[in-house]
Amino acid sequence: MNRDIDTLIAGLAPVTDARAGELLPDEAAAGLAARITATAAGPSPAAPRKRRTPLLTVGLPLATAGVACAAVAVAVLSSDGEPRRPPVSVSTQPGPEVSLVAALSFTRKGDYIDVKVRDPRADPKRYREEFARHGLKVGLSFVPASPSIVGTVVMMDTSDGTKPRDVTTITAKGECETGGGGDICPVGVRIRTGYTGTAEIVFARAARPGEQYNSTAPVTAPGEAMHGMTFKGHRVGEVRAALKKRNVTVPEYRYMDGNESKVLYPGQVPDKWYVHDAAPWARNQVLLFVGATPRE
Amino acid sequence: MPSPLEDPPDDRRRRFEEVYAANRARILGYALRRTSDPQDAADVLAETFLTAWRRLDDVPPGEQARLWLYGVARRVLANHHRGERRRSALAADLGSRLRADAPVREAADPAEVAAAFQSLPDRDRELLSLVGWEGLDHGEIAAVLGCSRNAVRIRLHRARRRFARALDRADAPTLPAAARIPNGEHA
Repeated sequence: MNRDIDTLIAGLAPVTDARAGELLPDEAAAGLAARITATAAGPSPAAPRKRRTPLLTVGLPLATAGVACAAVAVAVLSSDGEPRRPPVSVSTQPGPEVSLVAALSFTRKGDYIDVKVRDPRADPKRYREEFARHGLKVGLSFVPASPSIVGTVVMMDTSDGTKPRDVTTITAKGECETGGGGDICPVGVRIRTGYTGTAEIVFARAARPGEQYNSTAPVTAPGEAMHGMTFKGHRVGEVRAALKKRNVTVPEYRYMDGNESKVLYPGQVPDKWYVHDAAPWARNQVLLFVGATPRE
Repeated sequence: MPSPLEDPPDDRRRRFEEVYAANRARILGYALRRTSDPQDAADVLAETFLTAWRRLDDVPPGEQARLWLYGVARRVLANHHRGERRRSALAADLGSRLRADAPVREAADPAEVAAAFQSLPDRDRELLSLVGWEGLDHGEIAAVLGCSRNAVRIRLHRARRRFARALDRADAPTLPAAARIPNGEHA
């Protein structure tokens, strides 16, 4: 009997494992494995945590995907403490000084090397090689980010035993604005020349059209899609109309069904519902957190 | 000059590659069946195996590894579902590749069956999917969900009953009569 139900449900599966295997050709699979095994093999969760720079907001799973996920996000520069907002809240705006056209730049300053990014589109292998030439085991990668944090450091992850002064972020006062109203902007990393540990550094780059952000600033930060808008507790219809004027669309919604967050798509959210929160999603796109009542 | 990147011990890498080779299509399949966004699926794949790499000592041997990975993938997916944007930098290119290779939806999707399934609570859907899509038995599901075999048996029984009821309401003509009364118990 159960077999009948199970068979019906089996028929709903959109993709078989075999098809998934075809979608993941050997070369792509090997590439992913190489990137994974190039990251520092972590300690068991019981072992002391790796040091994470508290200045930076973490929007990536490099060290603690899965079980410990919820504990990773540190939103130091966040201006508010909404728990359900996507966990990335460093809000910075690169000034004209932050150049993204050239390549990785190394500047030796006494016992330290300052690294700034000049070409966010270069092959990650090339960064690794450039670091290696300086005797450093550092990986560098880029994630698409919402406009106001492009060009900044999104995350740093360093190996056990790394001392606080081994790897630090370079902050430039006045080169950007943060969502909290400050102007201390992370623009690079400074690494001690004798540093023997490993580090993974993630910088934010501009998203391509339609490409989803990995890392986002508060949606109302200067330069973001909903800068200057008030929308919390407003009707969905009203917010949608205001967004339309800005040519901003909403590809997905989230609402809480009891304790569960559920996804809704355009056409499934009534105008009379309320907007609780919003987050940058992709260029000219935002995600709205909605519900039938004005507040969660 | 020391080697630029210290290779981890060969046996560690070899073990990871074995686990990866044996399970990568299964984990990608698991993710693709549960999300409409190929980029999300790519992220789940990357994050799941990144966790496996970092916690390789915790990954059980043999077939058990698959269940452990499903458990990790399930949590990663749940976080994605909550709107958390933990995009994996590792999977950026893979996501666009999957996106380019879509259409991945192959199912005939009998409308009533799909609607009945969608009407179920997430918990029920996940249980029924682990049986119907991953082909797991009670003990295996218990390993994935981290609960007892007995709890799985009871919850699965209820999930099947709710599914049958939902189908009844839809009056699905495709459903064999027998399936409406699972285990001979009247819904």
